[in-house]
Amino acid sequence: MMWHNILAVFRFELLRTLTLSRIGVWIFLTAFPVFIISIVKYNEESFESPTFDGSRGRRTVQLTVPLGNGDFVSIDGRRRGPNYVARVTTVVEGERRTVDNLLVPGDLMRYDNRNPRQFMAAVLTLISLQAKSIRERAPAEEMESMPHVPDTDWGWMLFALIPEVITLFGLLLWITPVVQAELEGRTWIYLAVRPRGRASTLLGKYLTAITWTALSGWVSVTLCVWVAQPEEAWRLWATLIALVSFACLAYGALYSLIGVFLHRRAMVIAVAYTLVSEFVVAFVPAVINQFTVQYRLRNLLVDFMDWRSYYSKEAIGVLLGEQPLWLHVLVLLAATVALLVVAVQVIQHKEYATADDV
Amino acid sequence: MIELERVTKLYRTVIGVNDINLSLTGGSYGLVGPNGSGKTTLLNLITGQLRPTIGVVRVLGYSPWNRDSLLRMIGLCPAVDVLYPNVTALEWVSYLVQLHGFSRRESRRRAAESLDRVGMSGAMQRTMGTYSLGMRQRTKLAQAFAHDPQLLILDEPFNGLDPIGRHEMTEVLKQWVQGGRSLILASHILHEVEAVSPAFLLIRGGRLLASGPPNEIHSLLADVPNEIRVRCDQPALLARQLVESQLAESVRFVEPDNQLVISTRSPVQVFEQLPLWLEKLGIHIDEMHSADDSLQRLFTSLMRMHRGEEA
Repeated sequence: MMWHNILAVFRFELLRTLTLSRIGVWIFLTAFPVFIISIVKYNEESFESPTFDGSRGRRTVQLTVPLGNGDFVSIDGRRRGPNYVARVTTVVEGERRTVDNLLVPGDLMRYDNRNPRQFMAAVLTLISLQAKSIRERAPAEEMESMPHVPDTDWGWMLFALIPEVITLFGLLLWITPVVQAELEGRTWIYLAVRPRGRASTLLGKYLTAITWTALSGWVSVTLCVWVAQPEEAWRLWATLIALVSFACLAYGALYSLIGVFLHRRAMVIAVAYTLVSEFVVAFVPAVINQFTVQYRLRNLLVDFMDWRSYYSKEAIGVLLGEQPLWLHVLVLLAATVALLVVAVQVIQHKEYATADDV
Repeated sequence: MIELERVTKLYRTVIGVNDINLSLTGGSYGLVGPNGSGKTTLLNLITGQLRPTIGVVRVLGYSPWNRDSLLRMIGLCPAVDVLYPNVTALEWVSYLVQLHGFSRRESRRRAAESLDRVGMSGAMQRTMGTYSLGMRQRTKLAQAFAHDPQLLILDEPFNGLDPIGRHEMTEVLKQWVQGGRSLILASHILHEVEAVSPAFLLIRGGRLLASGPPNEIHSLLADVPNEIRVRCDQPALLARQLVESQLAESVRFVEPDNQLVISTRSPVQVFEQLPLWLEKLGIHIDEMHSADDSLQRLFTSLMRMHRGEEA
């Protein structure tokens, strides 16, 4: 009976999504990360000759050294906190590989503080020459086995854009006004007088919201990975698909609870919660960040991609943690179930009176 | 069927209904009261959408709050309009019937049947955004009885219907009642209710003022003075004649045009005598009306009685 009702709500709500405005929002959300990734990709591949890019106001410098036959070594220097990180990438026979990551301490940069960009360019030139010599001396087999950092930049960028922005935004739009939209549309009473109508409406709408948002996220991930062409494309794709799914389940349940409990100001409260909890508390280097969904998701990204060895113990201790992968999955699923159970109890026992009732 | 014991519902500081005692057996009842009188609150208490702040509500022996088994037996047509612009009436009613546990096919069959019953078969495949208010009203009525409930609760079901539509809906409701099922029909228009329901519940200011068949309610008002308003060219002369004949309990003049307001316990005799006096005294009447059948007067009188004042 309950599943029957939930599916009925799901089908009806899905039918209601077939409007131009809603389809437009879906396309916008799906296309936004693809647009960003395309710009990044376009800029990345635009360096065909030895160039140095350190334009005023930007915190990056880039050097590309051709190796002949169309192959080249590219070095990105980016400012990260007090330090600069240089990533050495080679393109050999059309295949891109990151061969080294170098940390240039900020103190060293300050050594010649009159023009840090020139100093950085000099460092990068040295690195590029080193990389070139590696390329020239190392046989192809050694290049294959050479330690390299997987596509962390693409991974984090896609993680930030899709599970942490698109998914959140989609769910905010869809599930947060679960009750208020019906009250404002004066349709709540028609649903509430059906057997288990309140719970079915909540769970049916939850199902619709996560389907709608997850579809957007999955399509976006697929297109972004296709555009970005990272080294471990399939692995990154599968990881992000899983992360989008977990994000939809957990955030959807969280917003459902906010939507039924504080229905009058649900959207404002959900946005405030997201900004404070998921974008501030999640980065607080303390135990409290373990109570955020983002903490679990970024741990899953690192574990699924097997990136843990590329981060210092300090970084792991502060922002990632030492828990096993299965525990993160379990926490996310348990939180989803618990939040939904509480939301169902709230919606079943709360009076949703309107001005029309008097 | 429905029992309310000292039921009060407060919305913070606003009183929805106030100290209502009520016991209804099966049948048809008209819940009559002006807008904002507490009709919808009372219906929401009966359907279990609200919990009483004080008192007990029982429907078929059970508290309706959070009781799904009761909701299967109740069909509600709320007063509020519904608009899913891109959904057809058939899809919407089918969907609501499905929520009662019926299969998709059975829901669709029942929805089509109900929509046909309210005269919507020709338009049920059109999206509701294209409907007139009357068509939406019929659709709302169809969703209320499509799952075949035992008790039908209708809140202002005739809003937006033209006279033909009102007549058709009245006939549908009469058939419903004749089928041996129960009905509560809430409206602020007395004659709409009178056409369907043999018994009234009169509510105002959240209080139940009276209940019973029309003749019982009229008998309550038997001793209530009737008020007649007359606008004529010689109001003082007519007032003197009324006082001399001892048919008027009181007379008074009201602005702006010096209208004569006659309060009488013998309206029939006044109406019999009036033409004779007009002819004899040469009085010309421009306007005259009696508040006898006005719901407003009924409520005003009942409120006075309720407060223990002389009506």
